Parts: sequence; C-alpha cells; structure tokens
Amino acid sequence: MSVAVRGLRKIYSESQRNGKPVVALEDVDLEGQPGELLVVVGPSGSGKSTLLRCVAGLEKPDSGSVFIASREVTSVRPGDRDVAMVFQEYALYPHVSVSGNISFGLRARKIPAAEIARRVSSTAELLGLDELLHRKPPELSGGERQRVALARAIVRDPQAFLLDEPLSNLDAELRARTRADIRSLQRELEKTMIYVTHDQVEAMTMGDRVAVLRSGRVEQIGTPLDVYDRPANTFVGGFFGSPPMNMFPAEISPDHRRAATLGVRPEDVAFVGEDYAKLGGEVTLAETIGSEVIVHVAAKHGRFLIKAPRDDAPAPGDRVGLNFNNRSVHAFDAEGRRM
Amino acid sequence: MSFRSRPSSASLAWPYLMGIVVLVAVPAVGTLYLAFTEYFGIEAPNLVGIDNFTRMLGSDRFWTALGNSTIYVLIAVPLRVVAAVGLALLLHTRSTGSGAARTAVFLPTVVPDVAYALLWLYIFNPLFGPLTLGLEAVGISSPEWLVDPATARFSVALMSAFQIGEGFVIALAVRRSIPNHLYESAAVDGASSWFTLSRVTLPMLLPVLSLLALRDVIISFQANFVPALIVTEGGPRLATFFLPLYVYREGFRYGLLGYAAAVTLTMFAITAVVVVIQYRLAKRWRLV
Repeated sequence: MSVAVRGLRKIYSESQRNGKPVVALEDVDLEGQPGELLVVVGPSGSGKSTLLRCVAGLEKPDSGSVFIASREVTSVRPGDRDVAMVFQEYALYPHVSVSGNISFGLRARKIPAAEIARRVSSTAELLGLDELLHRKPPELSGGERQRVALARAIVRDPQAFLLDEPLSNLDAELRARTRADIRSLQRELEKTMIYVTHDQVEAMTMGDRVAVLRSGRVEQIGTPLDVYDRPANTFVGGFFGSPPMNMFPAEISPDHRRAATLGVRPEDVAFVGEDYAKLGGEVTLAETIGSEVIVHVAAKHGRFLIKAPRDDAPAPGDRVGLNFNNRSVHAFDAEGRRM
Repeated sequence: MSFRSRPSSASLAWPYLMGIVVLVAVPAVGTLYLAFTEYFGIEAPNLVGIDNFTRMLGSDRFWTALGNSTIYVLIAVPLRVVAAVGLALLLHTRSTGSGAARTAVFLPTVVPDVAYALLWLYIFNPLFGPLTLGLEAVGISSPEWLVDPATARFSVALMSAFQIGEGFVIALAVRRSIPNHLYESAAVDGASSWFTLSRVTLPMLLPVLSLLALRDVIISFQANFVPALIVTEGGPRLATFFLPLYVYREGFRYGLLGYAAAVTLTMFAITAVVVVIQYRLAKRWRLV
C-alpha cells in the first residue's frame, strides 16, 4: 500500500527563526510506493520528522494532503490511519512488560485475547524476543528496547510503517547490525516503510529510494546510487559521501562563461606527478582509517580531501599533483543546480 | 602551607537539627512521659502507669472521636487525592488560562486556616450562603450542611478538599515528567482517551498517588482541628467531634494534660499503624 503526501506545508508560527515563523515543510510531494522502503534523509531542522508526524497524524499540516493506501487521511485521527510508528526514543511503557508493550495497540483495538496471544508470540519469535516477554523495559538493553519498539509496530500488521530515526540511540556496531535486520524484515513483510534519518549511510544502505530534504523542501528523490552518482545540486552532492565531495569554483568554458561550481568525490581523485596534474598542492594532514587514508591537500582552489590506499598515500608536507577523470566531475550552475 | 579543616556539609544541618530537637523531639518525649502521669500543669507530674489509657478506653467520648476521625479520613483522603490528581491532569498543559487556573487551585492552601474556616462558615450558611443559594437557584434543595449531623462530617471533609495545593503541585510535576512520545505512540496505536488514561497515565502516576494517600492520611488525622473548633465546635450532636478537638478539650479546657498526652500518643500510634499498612500494601503492589 502506498503512502503519499501532496503539496504538504507546515509552519510553526509559535517558534521563530531570524524573526520569522519556522517553515518546517514547503510544498512537499512524496510517495512511498507499495512495498518500498523510502528513506527521508536530511540534516537536523530539515523537516523530515515533521513530515513523518504529518503522515502519522501527530501534526496537522497547514495545507496539502496525506494519502495512505490511496485513501485521503489528512483529517483522520492517528489511530484510524492504520500506520504504525517507531519513535526515536522507542516510546515503551516502563510499567508494562515486553509482552504488554507489544500487545498495547491490539488491546486498544479490542482484538480477542487468543488472537493477541498468537500474534504477540509470532512477532516475538520473529524478532528474537521470546525470552524477554516478561521483562520490563528498564531491564532491557538499548538494542532489545529497539526490537520491542519494532515488534509493537509489526504486530499490528498496519498498511505502512513510519520509523523516526530508530537507530540513533544505538552504538555503532549495533546500528550496523540492526540496519540490516530492519532492511530484511521490511523485505519479508513487503510493507511500505518510510524511514527518517539524518545518517547518509543508513539512507544509502537501506533505501530502495532516498528523498533528500533541506529546509522543508525535497531536494532530490531517487535510488541511493542515483543520488550519489548524479546529485541534483551542491547540497545533495555535499551531503552524501564520507568524506564529502570536494567543491571548487570554476568557469565552465570560454563560450559560456558562466560562474559555476565543480565537484569531485574524494575517491575519484588520484595522485600523479606534478607535470601531469590538473591541480597541485601540499599535503597538510593524512588520516589513516584502516586500509585507506584520507589525505588533506591545500590547493590553489581550496582544501581537497582525497581517499587513497594506505600504501600509496603521501605524507604531510609532500607536494603532490592531483588528477581526475573529467567524467567523474560534477558540474553545478551558479544556483548550485546540476548542469 | 597549612591545611585548615573545613566545616563538613553535615554541620550546615545543625540549625535545622536544633529546631527539630527543641520543637519536635523534646515535646514528643515529654508527651510520651506525660501520657503515663497525672498532670494538671500546676504541680509536678505524678506517675500513674497506664491509668490514662484505661480511662480512655472506657470513655464514650474517645470512641466517638475516634469513629468520627476514621470516617473523616475515609472521606477526606480519597476526595483530596482525586481532586489533586484530577486537577493536575486537567491543568497540566500550557494553554490559555491554565496558569491562572493552577494559581486558583493552589490559592486556598496558602489562606490562613482560621480565615479559611470563617470563609466556609459563610459558604455553608443555610440562609444566605452562596452554596445554598446556588443549589436552590438550579432547583436542587440544599442539604443543611453544618446543621445536620449526617452532612456535617462531609462538609468538613469538603472544606479540606480545596486545600490540596501541595499534592496538586506534586501530581502536576509527575504528570509533566511523563514523556509526550508515550501519548503519541498510544494515539498512533489507536488507543482511546480512556484507554490511555487507565493504561498509561494512571499506572505511571500510581507511585505518586500512593505517596499522596500516605501523606494525606497523616494530615487528615490532624488537620480537621481548626474547622472543628471554629466552624462546627464539634457539633452538631458530636458529628464533627474529632480526635484533635477531643485532645484539645481534655487538655486545655479541663486541664487534664496527662490524659490528653495519652490520647495524643494513641492518635500517633493509630496513624503510624495505618501508614505502615499502606506502605506495605504499596510495596507489595510495587507502587513505591
């Protein structure tokens, strides 16, 4: 079942930024297709959580519409939208057992007890929570709480799942593992999932498609590779990739003398002899990250970050030449749009 | 360089501890001693063993006062806890007028007891009291609040149900400490307001509810003294003749200070037993 928003606009008139009301969402159009995992990614304050809350019915948009399974639900109460939401803080009831937490939504909907027991037990099994059903949330680890929050959403068998930064309270190792778990769970359930995160790695690894949000506007929607290989603007280019894309001002060609920005990814730059180099500079820092080194080069156009294999990396103080394939260069116009 | 000893933080508690000793501990020990004496406040106390207690157990007045106090506690405590928590749940959000409403709820608590009692004497007046007039205006025949023994105890309990500022503030603080995402999650899960109240809010408030109930039992055994003395004078027909008033009459009207001390000690013991039972129950139900 699809989840869609059309022309969604939300203004927080009570909170101000630079003396003006905060525009959280500005004419957002977005559709999570049936069975798709759509990641909404953006920096903090980009409006991604507001978007999710509008879909859930926890915020009322100022204009625009929300559709779930092709039904307009803009003024439908959250409980009647048939979506399940996983909150960043998990939102588990501390005084209720794991089993009680998982069954909360079913009990609220007055599902018969035998049916509840059956569904809780199969969901607990799916998420490996069978041993923990009688514990209470304060007795659980962060990862276990996260799984309970997921179980509570899954057990309701909703039309769609809404996940608001569900991994941000986990440590790095657990985050990587849970990322993969959620992804495979979503494939298994074949349900639409809208997944909000500020983490570009989560967006790249999990999403069927990725929607990049900035200041309440959708900057680009596409598959993760699309967004990475063909960023729609300098913001998207700089947001994806670690370290971020190197950007420098340039003039495109003698006949269209338009001021523009060129971008090239750290892994697309190679060290060459200065005679063959497009650019030259001096190495100021070399950060080793296991098998690779991130080399910082001070060049005429600014600082460049280059990803190089460990054996091949120059040392701080070295003069180096930089070269890159013209096809790996991203060109942006004066407004920062892809050319 | 020399090391000077700094006063420990415990020493900062001395002024307070001195106050406790002089104002609470010494009188308490004095009461304990006097309870076993015959003492009229003129000559030295005369040890009489458990005579005061035997006399007390044989006194009809004592049993009447104990019965009245018990009924009062049974009415006042639930009324006060429900009022404090109910108002906290209604007024915890920051909306127009809710600040003024919260102030209004707290205000009766800071009115001096005697002024508060006189105010209620006016409110309960069977001829021109606003409560009587108000009820009659909407066609309900008003009970004779303080005149009828059946309603007098309830009237005094009703008075106390408005002096709930501290309990209200505690309940308000605890309600505000419940994270909002729990309510949002319940809303997305399709929980009705009643389901959310009974499965989320009240269970999460239970520890504070039991704390308030414990505290109110202690207060309610004692706090009816001023209204009973000023508003009802123990009447009508001894309906509001509570233990504190009994102690006061025996001790200060009839000068039986030893006997009054024995009744005070008994009152303390009864309160302690009730509080311990309540605490045990709360612990068994894992509320505290």
